[in-house]
Amino acid sequence: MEGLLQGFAVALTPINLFFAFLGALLGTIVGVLPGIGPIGAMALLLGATYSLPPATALIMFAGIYYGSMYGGSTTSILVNIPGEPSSVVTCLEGNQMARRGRGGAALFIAAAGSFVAGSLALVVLSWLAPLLAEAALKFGPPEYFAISVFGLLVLSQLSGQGLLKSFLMVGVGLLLSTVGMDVISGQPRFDFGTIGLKQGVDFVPIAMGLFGVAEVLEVAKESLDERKDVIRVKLSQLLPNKAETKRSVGPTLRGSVIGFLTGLIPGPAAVISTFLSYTLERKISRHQQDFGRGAPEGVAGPESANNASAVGAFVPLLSLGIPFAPPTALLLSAMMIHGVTPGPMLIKERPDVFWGVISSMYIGNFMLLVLNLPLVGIFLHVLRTPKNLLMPLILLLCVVGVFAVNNSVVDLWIMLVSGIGGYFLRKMDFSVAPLVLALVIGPMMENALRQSLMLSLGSFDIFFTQPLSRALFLLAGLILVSPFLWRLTRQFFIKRRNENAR
Amino acid sequence: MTRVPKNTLVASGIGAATILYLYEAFQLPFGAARMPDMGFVPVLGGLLVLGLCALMIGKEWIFPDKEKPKEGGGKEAGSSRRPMLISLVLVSYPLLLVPVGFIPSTTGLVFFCLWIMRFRGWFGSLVIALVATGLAHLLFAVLLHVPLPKGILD
Repeated sequence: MEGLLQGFAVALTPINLFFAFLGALLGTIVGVLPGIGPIGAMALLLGATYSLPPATALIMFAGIYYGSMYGGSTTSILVNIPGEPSSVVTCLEGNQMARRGRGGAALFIAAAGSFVAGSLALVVLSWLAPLLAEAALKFGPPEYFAISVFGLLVLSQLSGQGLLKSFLMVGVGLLLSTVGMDVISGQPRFDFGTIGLKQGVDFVPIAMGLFGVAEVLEVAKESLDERKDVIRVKLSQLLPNKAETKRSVGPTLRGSVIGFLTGLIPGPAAVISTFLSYTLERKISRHQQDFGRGAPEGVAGPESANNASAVGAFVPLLSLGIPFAPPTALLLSAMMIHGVTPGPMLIKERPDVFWGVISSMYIGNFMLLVLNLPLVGIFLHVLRTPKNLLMPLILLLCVVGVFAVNNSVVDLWIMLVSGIGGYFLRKMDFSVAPLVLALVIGPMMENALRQSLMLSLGSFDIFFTQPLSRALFLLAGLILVSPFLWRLTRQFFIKRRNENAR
Repeated sequence: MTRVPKNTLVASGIGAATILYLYEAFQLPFGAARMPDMGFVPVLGGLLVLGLCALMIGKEWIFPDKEKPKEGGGKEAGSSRRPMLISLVLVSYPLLLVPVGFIPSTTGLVFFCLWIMRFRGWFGSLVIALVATGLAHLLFAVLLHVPLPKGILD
C-alpha cells in the first residue's frame, strides 16, 4: 500500500499526468486506425522520449498499450473493422447492436467494461507483481532458462501458424540475438567488422521494420481508395438501457478474470482472451438466440477480457523482467534504453518507476473512460484519414525515429531489411511474433544456459533437479503434446462411437 | 513451371542464411559443456535452425500443404508493384541520408511514397513532403537535439 501511495505521488505530478493522457490519447488513436498497432506506435515514439525521465516515458508507453485496447472497440462497433486483432470478436455483436440503433449503448458497454476490467486487473497486479518479484529473487540461472524456454514454447503453440513455422521463427530470433557483444566474455561476434553491429541487433529497428515498414508495404499493395461506412452515434444515445446494463455485469466480471489470467500466459493473450470470453458467454447466456444479432454480453465480455489481459501482461514484465508478448517486449526495450533494468530488483532499485507506472495505469484507465465516449466523433474523423497520406507519414516517423535512437545508419539498414523481410514473411503466412520475443529473450536465455552449465559442470540435469524449472519443463512438454493427445483421444472416441452405432 | 511451396521457399532462404551464420559461428571459441564459450550457443542454435529448415522442406516434400487459392480466381487482391517501388525508394534512402542530408533525402522519400501511393498531384505531394519533413526536423533536431545529417545544406 505504501508503494502504491508512493506511485500515486509520482503519477500525479503534472508532467506525468500530461504524458499519461498523451499516451492514452495516442493509444486510442492507434487502436482506432487499423494497421498501426501499439508496438509500431511505441517504437515510433521511442526516439522522441530520450529527454524524458524514465518513469514519464514508461507511463506514456503503458498508456499507448492499454489505450489501444480501448480504441479498437470503436471501429469494431461503428465501422465493423477491427482496429486491433483483439477487437475482432467485438465486431460480431457490437456492429450488430449499432445496426439496430444501439451503437451508443455498445460503445458505453465496451468502455465501461474495459474500465472495470482494467481497474480490477490493476488491483490484482498491484498485489501480485511485488509478491512474484520477491519470489523471483530466489531464482537462479536454471529457473530463468526454464521460464524463457517455457515462454517461447507456449507462444509457439499459441501463435496459430503451426509448431514448425513458429519454431523456425523462434530460431531466427535467437540467432539474431547472438549478434554483437557476448554477454559473458564481452567479446564482439558476428559484427563483420561493422561498428554498428558491435552493440548487437537492437530491438527497436527490428520492431519498426516488422511492424511499421512491413505494414506500409502491405497497405501499399491494397486498394487505397476504399470508403468506409460509419454508423453515426449521438451523445444522447450513449447510455445503455436497464436490461442491457444488467446483461453486461456478469460478462464484464467473467471477462476480467479470463483476461487477467490469459495475460499471464505467453502469446497473443489479448486475442485469445476475447475468443475465450465470447465462447463462454455464448455458452452460458440465457439469451443465446441474441448472439449474432447484437447481444450485449458479446461486447462486454471480450472488451473486458482484452483490457484485463493487457494489464496481466505487466506481471511477468515488471516482476521477472521477461516479456511474454511483443508489446511488453517493446516496453522492456524502452526500459533498458532509459537505463531501467527490469526484473525482480526493479521494485527495490527503482520503486518510482515500478509503482509510478502501476499507479498511472489507474489514472489512465479513468482518463480513457472520460476520453473515449465524448470524443468518439473525433476518433472517427481520424479513421477517415486517407491511407495514402498516412502511410508515407508513418514511414517518415519510422526513419527519423530509428535514426534518433543511436544516430546510426546501420540501424536504418536493419530496419529496412527487417521491414522488407517482414513483408515477405507476412505474404508467406509466417507470424513474426515468436521472432520478436526470441530476439528480446535471447541474450538472457543464453546467459542463463551458460551459467547453469558452468554451475553444474556441464550436466544438463540441473534443469530437472530444481523444482521450478522441472515443473516448467514438464508443463511446457504437456502443452506441446496436448494437441496430439487431444486429437488421438477424439479419434478414439469417434471410432468407438461408430463401432457402437454399427 | 512448378511453383515452389511458400514454406519451402522461406525454409530455403533461412537455411542459406543459417549456413553463412554457422560458418562464422564455427570460427568462434566453442568451449565445452562445463565451460561454454561464446561460440557454444551460436553453433547449437545454428544447427538447430538448420535442422528445422530441413524438417520443413522435408515435410513439404513428403506431405505437401495444399495452398488455398486466393479469392478472385487466384489473382492477388492488390498490385505488388507499389510495395516494390517503395522498397526501392527505401533502400536508396540510407545511401543518400549522410551525403545529401536529412532534409533533401527525407523530403524525397516522403514525396516518392506519396506519389507511388497516388496521393493527389505532384505539387500537393511535394508540399506535404516538405511540411512533414520540416516538422520532423523541428521536433527531432531542434527540440530534441538529435544530430540529423546536414549533407549539402551544411
